[in-house]
Amino acid sequence: MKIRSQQRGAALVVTLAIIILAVVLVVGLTMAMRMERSASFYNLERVRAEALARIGVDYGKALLMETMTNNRFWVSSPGRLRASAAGTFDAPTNLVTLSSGFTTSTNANDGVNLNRLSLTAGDRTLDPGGSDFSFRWVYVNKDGTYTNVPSTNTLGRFAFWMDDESTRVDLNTADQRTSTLPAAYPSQISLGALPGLSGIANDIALAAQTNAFITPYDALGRDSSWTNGLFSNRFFLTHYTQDADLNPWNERRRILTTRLTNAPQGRGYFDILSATNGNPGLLSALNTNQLANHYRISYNLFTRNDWPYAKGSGFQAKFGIPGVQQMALDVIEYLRAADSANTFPEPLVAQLVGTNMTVMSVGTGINIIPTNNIAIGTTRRPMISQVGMYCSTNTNALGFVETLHGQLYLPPSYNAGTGPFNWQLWAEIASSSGGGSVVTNAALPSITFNGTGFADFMVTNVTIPATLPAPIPTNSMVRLAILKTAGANVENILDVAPLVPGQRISLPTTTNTTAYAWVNDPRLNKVTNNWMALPNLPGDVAPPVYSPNYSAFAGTPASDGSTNSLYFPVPGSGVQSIGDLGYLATGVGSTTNAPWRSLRLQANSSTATNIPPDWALLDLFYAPVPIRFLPGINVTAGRVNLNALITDGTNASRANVLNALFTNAVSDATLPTVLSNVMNVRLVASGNYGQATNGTNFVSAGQLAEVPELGDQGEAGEAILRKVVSLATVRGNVFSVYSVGQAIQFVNGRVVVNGEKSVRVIVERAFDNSGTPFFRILLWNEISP
Amino acid sequence: MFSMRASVVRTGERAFTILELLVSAVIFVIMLALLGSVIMHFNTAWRQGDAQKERRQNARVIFDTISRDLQGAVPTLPGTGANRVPFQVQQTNNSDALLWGTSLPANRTRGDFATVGYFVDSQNRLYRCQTNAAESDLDTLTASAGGSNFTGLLAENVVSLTATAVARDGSTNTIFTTNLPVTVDLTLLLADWRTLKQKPNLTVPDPSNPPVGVQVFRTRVEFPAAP
Repeated sequence: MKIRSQQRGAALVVTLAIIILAVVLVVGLTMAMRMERSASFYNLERVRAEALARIGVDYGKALLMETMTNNRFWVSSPGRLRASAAGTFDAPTNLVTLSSGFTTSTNANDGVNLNRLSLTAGDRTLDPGGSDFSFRWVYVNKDGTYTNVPSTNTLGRFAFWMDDESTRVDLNTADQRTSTLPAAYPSQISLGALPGLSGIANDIALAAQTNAFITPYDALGRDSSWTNGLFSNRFFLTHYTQDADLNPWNERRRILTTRLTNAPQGRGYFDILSATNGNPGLLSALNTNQLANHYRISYNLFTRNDWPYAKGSGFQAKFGIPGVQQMALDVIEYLRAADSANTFPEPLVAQLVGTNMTVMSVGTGINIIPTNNIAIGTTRRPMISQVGMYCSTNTNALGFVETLHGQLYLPPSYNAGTGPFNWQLWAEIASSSGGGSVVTNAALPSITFNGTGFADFMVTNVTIPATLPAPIPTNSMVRLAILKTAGANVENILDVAPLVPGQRISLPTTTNTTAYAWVNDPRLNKVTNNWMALPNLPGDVAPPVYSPNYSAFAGTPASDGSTNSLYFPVPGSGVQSIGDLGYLATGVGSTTNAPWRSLRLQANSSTATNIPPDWALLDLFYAPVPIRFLPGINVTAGRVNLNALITDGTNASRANVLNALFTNAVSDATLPTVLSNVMNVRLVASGNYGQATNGTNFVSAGQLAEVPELGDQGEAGEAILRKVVSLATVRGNVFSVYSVGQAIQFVNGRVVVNGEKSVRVIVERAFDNSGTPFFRILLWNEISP
Repeated sequence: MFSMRASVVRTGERAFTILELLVSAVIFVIMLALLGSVIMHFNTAWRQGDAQKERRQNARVIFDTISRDLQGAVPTLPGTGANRVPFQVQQTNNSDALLWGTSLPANRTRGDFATVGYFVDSQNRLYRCQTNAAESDLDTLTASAGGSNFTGLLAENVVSLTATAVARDGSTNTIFTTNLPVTVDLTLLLADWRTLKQKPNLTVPDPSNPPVGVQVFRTRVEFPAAP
């Protein structure tokens, strides 16, 4: 019995040991399983949160793809787009919210604050100076549907907001405003205007030129002395912007240059040179087919009648068809004059019929010009402004002896230098009684010009034929031309007045009297009717001082009574700003005389809502910018979006960015007003082109001409516009999507957050080789690790 | 009573016969052999399962880490001539080393730009290197220490890591100075610790036919910021 009892006890011990071992194993296994399961679960939830954040990015990207298409007009701003209806280029009245929806609710289940406090130093993640910036959650259900509230069917939620990077200062391009760089150069935007950066802006700009910043906060790590300044300004800074650089119909703008080197990445430009490195100032260097092509493109754009800002008509309603034709020609002439190192580019002489331009060969003589519809390009050249004829009582075998007087005008602001220049005068003189027969068309003695504005010339012993006996002919008929050098090759014509063969300036012929005629605006001297008689002067006297009447044209648009519209850039310096188009003389070739009229980039340019304002022309072209360091697949980086107002109910403001654009271009006294007006899209009463409602958005950078304290300041305001308009845009191509995704469970009426992912993703609207836009993710930055 | 009587009877019995012992011993041995075999099989299966789990966990961690770094790869910015940190695949006989510039969560003093690199050393250890400076050479990246640089062990028992970077035109390159590749195909040969303990100098001449204890993992990473 005793032995058996011991055996039973051993069994019990063994059994207990086995059970304990088994329990330990099971408990251990269970714990391990629980840990594994928990780790796997939260890993899965992390992945799920990442996917949810990605939904926010994709959602935002889809909004861009939906609205920023090529078949509608749109403008962008932080958190919102405005677009016209698909298939139209109307005013952009449709509001597209580029977020999951702003909310003021403080309920964590309604929205998420994207500008939350970070763990270090109380900084905020988005805008260090801003307040809470909350956006609504979008709940994602297991069946793929979205709802506004959580339920047991919910597996996660996301919220996002999209920032327009073009409403920030581009660290890779900004520097400071200087007078030595073209106004279109993006470094004219002052990095030092941002708070605390004035002392380090130049160093940062220099570093960017050496090695471009390639992430949003790349610059922070470059130099420890930059850290605080850049960190506190990070809401105003970016490393990458691109202007869409489209005209109102979403076609790529042409760059105002004849140089391929100024049009990188296959961008459109005025490729009118036969050889890439040709001299655009020489007619022989030009490709006539391309000239005609670019003329046609410009003409067709100028005469479009579906401008988003004002539908109904084109520029022909203002300037007439001949005026528009001359403008299309003069755009070419302006950039030829800008790109050529020649002091006096050879003006184009062309026949303009509708959209067709036939460049005339003038190589065999002035008189070969065969027909009407002839235009001569407005370029940097002297112009014939006055002509006079003295008729003595003497006669010779041919008839009465006359003296030819004249005056040339070369505005100092044409930047031709001070001379002296030597030109040859070509004169064609006939008499009314002589039936218009030519008495001389030979080159006459040279004229020296001293560059002071105008020069007199006098040619004596000119005779008219005495084909009819006395009395003296009623009129002398004169046609003049200026040649750069003497010779039969008249490709070097500088001016012809009148332009059309057979038309001549009529001067009353009276013995012992000098009869003068003058033209108010020498750019209009090609038309006989623009020559007006001055009172006859007794004796053989020099021309009176040329005194143009700038206010001769009183209607709008008109110049302000100064020579501001008379301008050409220094030879070879290139087009400085898109605002240079304001120098285009729109009175040339007009059906009515319109001396001194040029494009008016000022307020109240037109009160007609069906005619495009003058500043609309700025949306068709772009000024050339050297590609020194500009990132991206095109060179439109650095421009600042005027639609910088953040309308999502936060106190976040981009006024500092606009300050960087306008500082040193606007006087300190008016700068605050200008910034306020621009920030709030405050326009003059009639400047409300293409707006859904006033005060919502700019539809064109040119609309700065309608901003009080800019556009209403006359030529002074236009001068400011030339400094800033090339640096401004209303259509950004790069957006940052700030997206937060949370994997959640809805348990017992409560939301349990199992995982979160927060990202900043930069999306760019780029172009493929065929010019078709596509959207690519440029940078994927995880805000939370 | 019965039990007492039986007990008395049993205690009074003689010992087992040799035959009985032999038979029982044989049966015991057979059972032991069977049990041993079962245990061996269980052990082998458990080891294989454990090794596979180890390899898969390692593969997941490695691919997850590399993929996240690749996701933030920053593209070229024309005008500087070339990437500050070209995407590079430095090919070696055994493994490829990788290096590129990426964007990481921003640090107040170091910014968000970083150079990251991956390489496998001779001890079958995969390292991840990172610096907030621009380094275009892996040796420089790994040699520098301190500051913002670090080189950390990511995984052990890595037989090899190879990468094939494909450009937009379909060509494969080992250095991308002007644009990021479109995709990178990563091939990872992972062993478990027991295998490498037994064969410390293990090489796999034919990755398509790996030996026992070595597993091939492949993944393709697409670059969101590809041109």
